[in-house]
Amino acid sequence: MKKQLRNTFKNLKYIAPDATQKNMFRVHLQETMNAYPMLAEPAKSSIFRLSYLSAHQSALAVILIVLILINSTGVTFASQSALPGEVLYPVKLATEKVRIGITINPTEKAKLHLAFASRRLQELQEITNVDTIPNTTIETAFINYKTQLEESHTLLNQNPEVTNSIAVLIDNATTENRKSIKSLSEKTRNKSFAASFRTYLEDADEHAESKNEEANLTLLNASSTQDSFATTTDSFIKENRYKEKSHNKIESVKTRIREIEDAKIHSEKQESVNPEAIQKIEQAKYDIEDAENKLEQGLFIDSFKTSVRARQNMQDAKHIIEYERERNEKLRESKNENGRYEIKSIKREDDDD
Amino acid sequence: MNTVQQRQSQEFTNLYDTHVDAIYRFILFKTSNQTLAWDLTQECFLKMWQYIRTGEKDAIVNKKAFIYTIARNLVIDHWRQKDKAATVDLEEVAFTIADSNDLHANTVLADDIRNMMKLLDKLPVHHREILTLRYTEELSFDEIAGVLGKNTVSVRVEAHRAIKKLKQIAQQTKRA
Repeated sequence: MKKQLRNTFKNLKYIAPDATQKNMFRVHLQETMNAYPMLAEPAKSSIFRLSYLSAHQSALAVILIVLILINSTGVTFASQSALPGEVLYPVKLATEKVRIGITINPTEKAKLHLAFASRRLQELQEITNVDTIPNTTIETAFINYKTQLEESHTLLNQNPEVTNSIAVLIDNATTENRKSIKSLSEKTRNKSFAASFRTYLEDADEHAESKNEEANLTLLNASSTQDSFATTTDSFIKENRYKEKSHNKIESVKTRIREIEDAKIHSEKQESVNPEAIQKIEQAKYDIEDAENKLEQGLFIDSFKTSVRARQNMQDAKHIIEYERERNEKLRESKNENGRYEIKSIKREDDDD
Repeated sequence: MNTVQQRQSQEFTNLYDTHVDAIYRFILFKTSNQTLAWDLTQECFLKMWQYIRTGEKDAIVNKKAFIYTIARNLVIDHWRQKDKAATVDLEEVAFTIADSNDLHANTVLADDIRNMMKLLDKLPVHHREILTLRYTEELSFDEIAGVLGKNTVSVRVEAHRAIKKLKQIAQQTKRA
């Protein structure tokens, strides 16, 4: 979710009841508790009671922990190869949750999240061997994949002392994930579910790329405060690491700018393109040219940062054009026989809930 | 009161101090009525104390999620009795902001909040519920699932849909 939207949600926390009323009720609550004190002895807390789970889930968690530790039963073993839609798949997910829950070290936790994210992609590789898959299965698998990636990213921000190590893990994992996503895209090109699947793949790829960029920018920001202590060799190694990254990103962004320009031309044939989209595309082109110049000059880190900015502008332009296209299509569908537009209520997908 | 009872009372008072604002907001977003939201908030904590003192919900593991569940049920019961849903637009709802001496910051904040409430008002109630629980009150998906009586995967899917919808509405509003 965009940072601005997320921050605005957090601002809702400033809404509060009147302070005087709160204090008055607090006094009333204490009087009530004095008048009607505890009757039952509180249940003793169990060392096996994990606070984030319900009682039943806690019992299952204990069983799973024991099974994982002794690793001797067929159930958890069999569940590890379960795929989405299969009976044992929830056991597999529950096992993963327990493993994360009992891991204290944030770097190890991040490794698990990233490993499970990769697992989701591997599962998708397997389930796409068939010709038809329920849309809900696909959607859930991608959401679970993105959630694991998000959880690792949360650990990046929460633990400054291990930021660098987690950022490196995310960088490596998301690079591999993007390769898996590309392979999935090629594999499913001719499947019956290809059209909807492609949408999820593009979204997952964009998400992985965005997390990869954030991890790298975190690494660069962290190391820039330590530059005065870096040796010449360290700086050289760091700069060169970004030579290939920058080159790849520039090529990728240039390809996508060409695609967006084609999409823009298609839109212009039917109606004018939003000026904001045009501005974003122009900015992206300017930035990518700047990134290429910096690459030639050997300023690989700056080149990388500029190419990241170019990609973000290009993505913004793409979203604006897609939104405009959908809106215009809906308006065209509403056109009646006399050539006038009617306002039809657009049924929300959840109106039947 | 003996020592254990005193300790329990103190723990519950701490629970109240920690969660009263969040529960009030949760009910306010569902009912769009400040007075009603405060009434139900009080009822919620009284009910919670009743559960705890009688040991009815033996050793409630996640008190935070449980209190949200009570709040949610109180709102549902209220609507059943009154036989109507909220008729006031969320963006019209008056709200108070927690005390601050900075008048300018308060004004900017109030604008920001009002704009967000305009967006939220365009969402179905259950989407509004999930988004505010997740991004304002920062409950985990497991906790939200517990509050709503759904499974975690359904909540994640719904949250994903709700965010997508909110972004679309935000973009539409920006262009208008």
